[in-house]
Amino acid sequence: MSAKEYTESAKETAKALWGDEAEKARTHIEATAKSTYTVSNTQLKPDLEPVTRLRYGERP
Amino acid sequence: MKPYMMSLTEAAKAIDIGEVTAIEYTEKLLERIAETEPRIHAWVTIEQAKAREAAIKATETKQKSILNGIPIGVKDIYSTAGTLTTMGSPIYKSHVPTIDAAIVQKIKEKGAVVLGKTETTEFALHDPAPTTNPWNTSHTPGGSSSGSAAAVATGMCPAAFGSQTGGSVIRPASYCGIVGIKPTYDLLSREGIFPLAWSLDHVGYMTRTVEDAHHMLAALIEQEKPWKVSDLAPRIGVLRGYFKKNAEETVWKGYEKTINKLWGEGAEMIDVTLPDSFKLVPDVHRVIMAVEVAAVHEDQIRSRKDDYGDYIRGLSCQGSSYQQQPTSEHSDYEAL
Repeated sequence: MSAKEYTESAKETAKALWGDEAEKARTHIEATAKSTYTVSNTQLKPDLEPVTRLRYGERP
Repeated sequence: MKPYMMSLTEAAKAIDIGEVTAIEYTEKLLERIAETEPRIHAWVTIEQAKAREAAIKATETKQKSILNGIPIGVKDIYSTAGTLTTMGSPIYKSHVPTIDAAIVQKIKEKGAVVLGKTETTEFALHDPAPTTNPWNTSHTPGGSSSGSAAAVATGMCPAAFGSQTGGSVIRPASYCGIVGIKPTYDLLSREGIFPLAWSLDHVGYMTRTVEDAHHMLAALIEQEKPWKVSDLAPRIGVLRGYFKKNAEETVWKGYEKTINKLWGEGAEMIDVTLPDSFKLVPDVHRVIMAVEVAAVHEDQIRSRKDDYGDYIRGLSCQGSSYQQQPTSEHSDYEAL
């Protein structure tokens, strides 16, 4: 799913739940969808990320 | 020096040695509020009678704490027994809690004088408070702890509590030229404070000096001891990278000027590099905040949407629909 498709999907979901209110919240929906997409599609490098290593039970 | 410009530490010493009483000091600050408040709008509620009562009690009981007899402002999302607590929202315009937030209870036990409740943006989020910046009243004092920062900067009180989910303590402190501190998550209890996003909310406060910030934290975590300045030069971490890339030029020049000044005064400056994933923090923060704000406000927004500002309505609208959204096939983020 592309970022554009994901954002459109977010708008549709919000519209189904909130009706016209979702249109007023378009800026928020687009920004949060962008953030969600970015985070979801970022591949971390475990060897370079101390937080990730901690999660795997290792010390940095 | 004018009494209202004494630091918290100076005032505490003056009270301790009997140079001034808590009652006299409180009266001076109430005079300062009367003089300054019409231009600054830092307070939702000023509790003159209760403050005088607390100052008398502090004078009589002489608590062994640096906070004894010290007038303090409290952000208007903290529950205060018998005092209006509005959350910066018309929905709570008549709300008077019956109990104090844990941190308010703690400072009262230490003899502090709660002067009143300071202005906040709506539910400590975005839609602004009426407070002005003391250095230029046509400018914003920053938010969300707007009233607390302006009150401390103008000498209406030597310290005031705020809360921070994104930058709500350190931003207004910076805009108003004072010291802001955001202690480690949950070091200070959030009990009795209206949540914005509970995974990110921090109890923090402002003072006019670093020494005051130190003493106040020591009192709040029950570790009060005499102030001792180390002979060693302070070691200060310097962040560039992500911050340099995203800062406006004038802000960055100010930052570098400060670094050079500290270095020139003998501080040891250490370059610190953050992991590459730090660039994701604003996005992660936004998603968590949207979902948690929605969890707190969704039902009420549906029934009283006209009593909410646009920003919080918009954020809740997205946050509440978030869980029904597919994300992506990638699951690397789960490693975080």
